[in-house]
Amino acid sequence: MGAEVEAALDDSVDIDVEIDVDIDLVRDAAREFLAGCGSRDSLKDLAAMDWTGLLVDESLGGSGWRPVETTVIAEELGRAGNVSQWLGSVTAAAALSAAPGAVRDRWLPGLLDGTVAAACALAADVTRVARPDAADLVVAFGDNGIRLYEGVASLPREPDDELLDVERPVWRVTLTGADGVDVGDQEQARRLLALARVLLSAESLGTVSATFERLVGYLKERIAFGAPIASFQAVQHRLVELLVFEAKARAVVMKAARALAAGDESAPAVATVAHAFVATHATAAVDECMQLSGGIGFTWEYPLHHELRRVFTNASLLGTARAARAQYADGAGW
Amino acid sequence: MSAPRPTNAQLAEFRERIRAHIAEHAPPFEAREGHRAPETPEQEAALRTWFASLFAAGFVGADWPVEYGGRADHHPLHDRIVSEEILRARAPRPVDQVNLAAHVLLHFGSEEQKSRLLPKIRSSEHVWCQLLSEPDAGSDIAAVRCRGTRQDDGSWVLDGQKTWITDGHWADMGLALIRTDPTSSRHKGLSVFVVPLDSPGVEVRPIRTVNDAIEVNEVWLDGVRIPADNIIGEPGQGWSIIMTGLDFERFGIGGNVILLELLIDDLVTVARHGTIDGVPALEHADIRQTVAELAVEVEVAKAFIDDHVERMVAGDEQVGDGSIAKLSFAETYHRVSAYGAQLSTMVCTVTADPGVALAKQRLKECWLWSRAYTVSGGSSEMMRNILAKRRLLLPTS
Repeated sequence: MGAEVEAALDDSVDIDVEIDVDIDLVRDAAREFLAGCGSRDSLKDLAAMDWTGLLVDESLGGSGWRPVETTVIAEELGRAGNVSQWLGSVTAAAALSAAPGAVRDRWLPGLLDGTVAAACALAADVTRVARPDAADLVVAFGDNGIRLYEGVASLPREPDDELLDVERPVWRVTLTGADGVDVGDQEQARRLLALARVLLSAESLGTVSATFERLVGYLKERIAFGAPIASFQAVQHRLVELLVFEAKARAVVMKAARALAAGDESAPAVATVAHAFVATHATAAVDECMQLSGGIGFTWEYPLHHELRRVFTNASLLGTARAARAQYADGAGW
Repeated sequence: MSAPRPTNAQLAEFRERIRAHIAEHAPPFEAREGHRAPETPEQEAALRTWFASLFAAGFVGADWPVEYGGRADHHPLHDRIVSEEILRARAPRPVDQVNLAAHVLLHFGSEEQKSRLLPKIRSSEHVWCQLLSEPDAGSDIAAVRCRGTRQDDGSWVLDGQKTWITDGHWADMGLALIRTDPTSSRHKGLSVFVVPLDSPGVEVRPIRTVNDAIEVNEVWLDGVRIPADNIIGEPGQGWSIIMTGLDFERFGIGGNVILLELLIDDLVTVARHGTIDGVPALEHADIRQTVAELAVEVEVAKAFIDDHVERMVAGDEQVGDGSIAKLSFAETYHRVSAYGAQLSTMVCTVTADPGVALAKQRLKECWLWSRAYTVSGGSSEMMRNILAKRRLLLPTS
């Protein structure tokens, strides 16, 4: 392994890995709250839980820098199939909390109370944005820093036909020529993009987890040839492979969240690993669930295809697995 | 287990100490996967001296009760650090089966057995093997058929065949699982014996493995007479003794992660210094992608296994975590080494330094050896069965 990655990841046993019991409480509370929301996906509801200010200083009305809790919330939103602009809003709020006073004061209060919605994207002439129609702002992460674009509704855009999500559809938005304002430097961009990718990975993980849990329940009940389908070893081993993916994905996503929370120098590398791993495997995992669900998984009315569309889309929204692997290799100094 | 968790500074200091010990005492040859057992009398002598030095310095056997040589300030994280540093230095690792035998003796042995046998473990005069598997009892260990018959004088006579006996060809003592109640089946009627391998009637036949090495053996027991005080615990207690003993091996998996990192190191060495069409392999996008993907898989396996060890230390283990850790390690090891062996054939290393040839050699040996991980100690399929039953609570057919 290259020097940088080795220095960053070596001797991890020496790093205090706190597996905080409170995280379970956060997870349970979030799950309960989201279950109670039903199909109502209101950003204001989430803001009322203080979930858009999880990465904003307390002095500015947020909860402090809390990447671990934020990652748990992201997973639960993925599990619930939430389609709100939470991911964009929570990262935009984080970026704005360190931005110049005027632009910060203009937008941060609205992000914190959910009256302003933001999307996050990679900086490019034309970039992919989830639900730009429902966003007031776009924060774009680039090599040179973070830029904030206002008046998103007036930016030229067209539907992105490659990505499949129909509930949180992605558009290609043209940023060239748009008025943007710098709200963060290179280091800020690097750190927040790493975090946004971890959150997006957590969301995909939550989605896979929901699909998988439903599948296991279904196969325990469903009888074929006089026995529950889940009793057949050929099916069991495939289910276990999905379980192993879920467990490993959660381990690496949470490791990245802890590293970001601690400001550890390994954080960007671990975040890249989490993003690469989830983006590589999540779609195949839900696809496998579709096969194991039999005919029902193949219908429009069953939720599974929405989950497939979500994780497929997430795998490209803030960069691809291929790009993440290249980034890992560069960081490793190969 | 009673000592409080050491601080990071204390762990770092401990790591420095084991590093210094390795630098001073490790034998002058590199450990090779698939060639762990000594291949010459000189190597064997060097290994025994090395193992004894680890016991004497308190790096191995530190978790034993103090009266038998353990350290009062021992913490499980120490074991992991020792394991990591030995593997990273490519120094020979202590024999797992010795560890298992020691713990079985400590927990179930009589005072006489402990005082007779434990000092010779620490001095490494005795290397132990475990006589568990049989031709018809591999992963399904409860199918044991070797018989033990009690004689009028209280001694026992053992008959039958054991197989896949790691280190049996140079071990001095064996810990044997034997059926002592001929009317019993499965988990009942089994007993555990201490079998000196120089007893009349013991015949060890090496099995040459895929690496063209001797690591495992068949062991034939033909009317082997065992004194009464060589049974551990009570007759019929064998199953619970062995299962408890296997539990002690759990922490080993944490240190094994280093083996995965070493594989990636070798893979990168070969890809960086080997060329394809005159260009370093690592500069070909497809190779760079694959190497990075495998490195990511290793990082993820490490993340899970690290969490697993932390949960064990905290006593907060989830059902089946150990099986996920074992699967993750074994399958990742196989996948990385298989690609390494394949990559080695694709690249030209004519002008590269000898370190590259060594890396290629290791990748090939690791791949051939990788089935030892996916098959032994509970095969990957067994792990999946366990997880299906205990973690996912799937119905049985």
